[in-house]
Amino acid sequence: MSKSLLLQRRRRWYNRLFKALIGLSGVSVLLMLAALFIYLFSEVVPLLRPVTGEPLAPLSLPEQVVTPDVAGNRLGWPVTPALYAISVSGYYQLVASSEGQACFYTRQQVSGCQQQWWLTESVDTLTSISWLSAEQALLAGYKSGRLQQWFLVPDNSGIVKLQLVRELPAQSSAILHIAPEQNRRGFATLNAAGQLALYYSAAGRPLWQRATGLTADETDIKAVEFSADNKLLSVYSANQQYRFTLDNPHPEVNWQTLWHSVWYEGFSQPDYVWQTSSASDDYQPKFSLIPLTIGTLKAAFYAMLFAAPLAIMAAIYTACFLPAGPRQRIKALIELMAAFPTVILGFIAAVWLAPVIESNLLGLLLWVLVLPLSVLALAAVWPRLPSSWQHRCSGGSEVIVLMVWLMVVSGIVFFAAQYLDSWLFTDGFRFYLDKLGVYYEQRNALVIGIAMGFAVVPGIFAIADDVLHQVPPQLTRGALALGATPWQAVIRISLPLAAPGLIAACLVGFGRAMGETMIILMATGNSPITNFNLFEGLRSLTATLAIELPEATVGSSHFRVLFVAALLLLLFTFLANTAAEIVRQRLRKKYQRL
Amino acid sequence: MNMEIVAKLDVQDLSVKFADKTVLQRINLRIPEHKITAFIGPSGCGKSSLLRSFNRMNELLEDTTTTGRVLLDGKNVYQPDVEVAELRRRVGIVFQKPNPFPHSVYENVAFGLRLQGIKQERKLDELVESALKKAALWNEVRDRLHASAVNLSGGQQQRLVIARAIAIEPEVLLLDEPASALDPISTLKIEELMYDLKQHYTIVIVTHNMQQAARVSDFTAFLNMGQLIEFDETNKMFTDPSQRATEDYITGRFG
Repeated sequence: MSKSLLLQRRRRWYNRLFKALIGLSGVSVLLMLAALFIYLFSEVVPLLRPVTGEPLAPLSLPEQVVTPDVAGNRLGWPVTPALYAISVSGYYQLVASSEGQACFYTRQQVSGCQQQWWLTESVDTLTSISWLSAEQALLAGYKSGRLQQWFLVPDNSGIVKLQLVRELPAQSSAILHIAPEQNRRGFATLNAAGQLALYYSAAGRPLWQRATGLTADETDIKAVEFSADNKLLSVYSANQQYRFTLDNPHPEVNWQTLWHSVWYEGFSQPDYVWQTSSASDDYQPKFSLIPLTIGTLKAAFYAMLFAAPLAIMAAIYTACFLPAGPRQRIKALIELMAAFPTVILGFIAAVWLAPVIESNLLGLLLWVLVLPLSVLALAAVWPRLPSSWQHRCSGGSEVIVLMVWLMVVSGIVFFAAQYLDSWLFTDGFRFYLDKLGVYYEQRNALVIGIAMGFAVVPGIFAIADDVLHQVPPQLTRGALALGATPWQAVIRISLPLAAPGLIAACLVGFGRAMGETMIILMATGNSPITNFNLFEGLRSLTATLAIELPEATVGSSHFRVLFVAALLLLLFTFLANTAAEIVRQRLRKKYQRL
Repeated sequence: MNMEIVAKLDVQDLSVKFADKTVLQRINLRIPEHKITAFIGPSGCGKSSLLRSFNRMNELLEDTTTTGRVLLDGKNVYQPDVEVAELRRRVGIVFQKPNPFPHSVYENVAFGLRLQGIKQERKLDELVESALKKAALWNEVRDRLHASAVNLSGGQQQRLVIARAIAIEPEVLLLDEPASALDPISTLKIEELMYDLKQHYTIVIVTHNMQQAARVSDFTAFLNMGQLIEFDETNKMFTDPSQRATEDYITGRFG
C-alpha cells in the first residue's frame, strides 16, 4: 500500500520535473532568439547615439604669436587676396579676395592659376576658407553665415578643378573659422555669435552645436583646432585655450549616408556607394546599404524567376496528377535536394556553369524562348498523330515522349546557336551586347538565378505540394463530375483555391534566397552595383557579412554598419517568413470551412 | 419484369475491385430511361460503387480494377476511346455531402456551362436561371446570386449542387444519398425535385432510407455483399419481394 503510494508520488514528481525541463528548454530557445536580437542591436546602438561635447576648463596660454595664414600675392593674379588656404601636404593652395574671387593652384605651378573664378555669385563677404583632410575638398564660409563645400573633380582633360558640391544650411552669423578634423572628413566652424558647430562632409546638417559664450569679434579668436584623435576641439584666443571634449566616434554613418545617394570626394555626382576599405590611409569610407540591399533583392528575384515556376509546376504535377506512391518518392527526392551543400552548388556555378553560360549565351537565351514554344508545338501536333501512337504513349509514358522531344529541341537550339553566333554577329554575341551598352560579367545574376534557384526549389516545392494536395478532394471531384478534364479541375479549382498558399511558398523561397550566402559569395563576383542588369554581378548583404566581418576592426564604424546589414537581413527573412506563415494559417482555416 | 422499357444504362457482368477487395461481383442490371431507380442495401454493400462505376468516378480512387461492361445507349463506357470528361457530362453525379465550390452561387451553376465553352453572358444568365428554377432554388437565391455559395444552408447547398449538375443537361443523373445529411424539410424538397426532374432525366439514387426509396422510385435494386440480390418495380419489391434477404432487409430485420 505504502509502496504503491510512494511509486505514485515518485511518478508525479518525475512528471513535474520533465514538464519543467521541457518548459525550460522551450523558454530558453525564445530567450536565445531575443538575446541574438539584443546583441545585434547593442552593436548598432552606438551609431544612433547623438554626438556630445562638453567644455573643459580653459587653459591660459603664455602670450604667443599665432601666425595666421597670410595670403601672399599670387604671381600673375591681379586681385589682392584676403584669405589663403593650403592643404595638409601643401600641394593644393587657394587664395581668395574677400569678395569671393578665387585662384586655385598647385605647388608645381610657379605663377598663374589652375582655376580662377568667383566662389560666390551673390554679393557676400568671404570670411574663411579651409581644406578638408585628404585634400579633396574645400570649405568656404561667408559673412552672411553661408557655408559652401567644393570638391576637386577632374574635368574632361584630366585637370582637377574645384566644383561646388553643396551649400550647407546657413548659420545665423558670419563663419569666422573652419577647422578640419584629422584624418577624417569632419570639420568644425565657429561663427561670430560664438557658436561652435560640428559637421561631417557627407552629411548636410551639423552633428553637434554649442554656444560657447565667446562673443568674440573677428580679431579676438585666433584659431580653432582639433587634437590628433579628434576628441578635443580647442579654440585659441590670444592668451586662452578653450577646450571642448567631443564624443563623435561614428561621424561617417547616419541615415543619410546609409540610404541616400551621397556626393563623395572624387566623384562627379552623388551616388550610392559601398566601399569600406582601401589601400590608402586618407580614404573616405562609403557605407551605402543600397547596393547591398539591391544586390540581395536582385539575386533573390532572379533566383525566384527561375525557381518559382519550376517548383510550382513540379508541385502541380505531383500533388494533382500523381498517385500516392510515386508522389511520395518524388517528394522525398526533391526534398533531398534541400540537403545538398550550397557550397558545392556555388562551386559548380562559379567553376563550371559561369563559363558554360558565357560561351553559350545566345543559345541559352534562344532556348528560353524556344522551349515553351516547342512544348506548345508538340501539343498542337499530338492530336493529329495516328491514334495507335497516342495509345502506345498514354498512361504516363507521354512524359518520356515530352522529355525526348525537349532534349532533341535543346540539342538543336544549342547546336544552331553556335552557328548563328558567328553568322549574325561578326564578333560574336557578347561583343554585340557590349556595343549595345549591356555590360557582361562572367559571374552574373543569371548564373546566380540558376544556381540559387536550384537551391530554393525544394523549399518552394514542399509547401506548394502541401497546399495543392490539401485542396479538399470533394471540390476537385465535383469539378470532374461536371465533365472537367483533370487539367481543367486543376486550373479552375485547385490553383485558385491554393493560390495564397503558392504565394506563401514563394515568400518562403524568397526568404531562403535572401539568406543564402555561399552560392552568392562564390558565383557573383561580389561587385556592389546598384542595378538589376541580368548580365552583371552583385553583392548581397550575406556575402558582404561573410567577406568583411572578419576584416573589420571591432567597434569601428565599418564593424557596426555590418551589424546594421545583419539586422536588415534578419528583418527581410523574418518579414518574408512571417507573411508566408500568416497566409498559410488563413488558408488552412479556409480549407477547414469548405 | 417489364421488358418493354428502354434501358438507358445496361450493366453487364460488372465487377469492381479496390486493391484486393472485391466490392461488386458480376452485376447485371438494366436501368430504365426516364425513371427513378433506387439502390438500397446495407452499408458497404457496394451500391455507391455501382453508382460511381456508371460515370467512371471510381477511377479517381487508387488501385481500382473494373471488369465487365456498362453500356450507355448501347456503347460501353469502359472502352478506351471514350472521353471520360464527355461521359461525365452526359452522366452527372451528386454526392452525399454537398460540395459547392467556394465561388458565388452563380459561378457554381455556371461552372459546367463555362467548361462547355459557353461564354455569352446573356446565355449564361438564362441557363443559370433555368437550372436554379428546375432545382427549386431560384426563389431563395435570386437576390444573392453573387454571394458565396458556402454560406447557404445544407439543404440549399445540396439543391445548388443538383442545379449545377443539371445545368449542363446530362442524360443520366446519379444521386448518391443526396438527402442523408439533410433535415426532413430539405429532404422533402429534394424528393419533390426528383419527381419533376424525372420527365427529362434518367435518375439513379442510392439511399439508406427505405421510405424514401418507396416514395420516390419506380424501380428498386437491392444489393448485398457486392451482389445484386433483387431488381424489380418498386411497388412489387416493397409488397412482394421474391427473395428472403430482401424481405428481411426491407422489414428491418438486418442492415
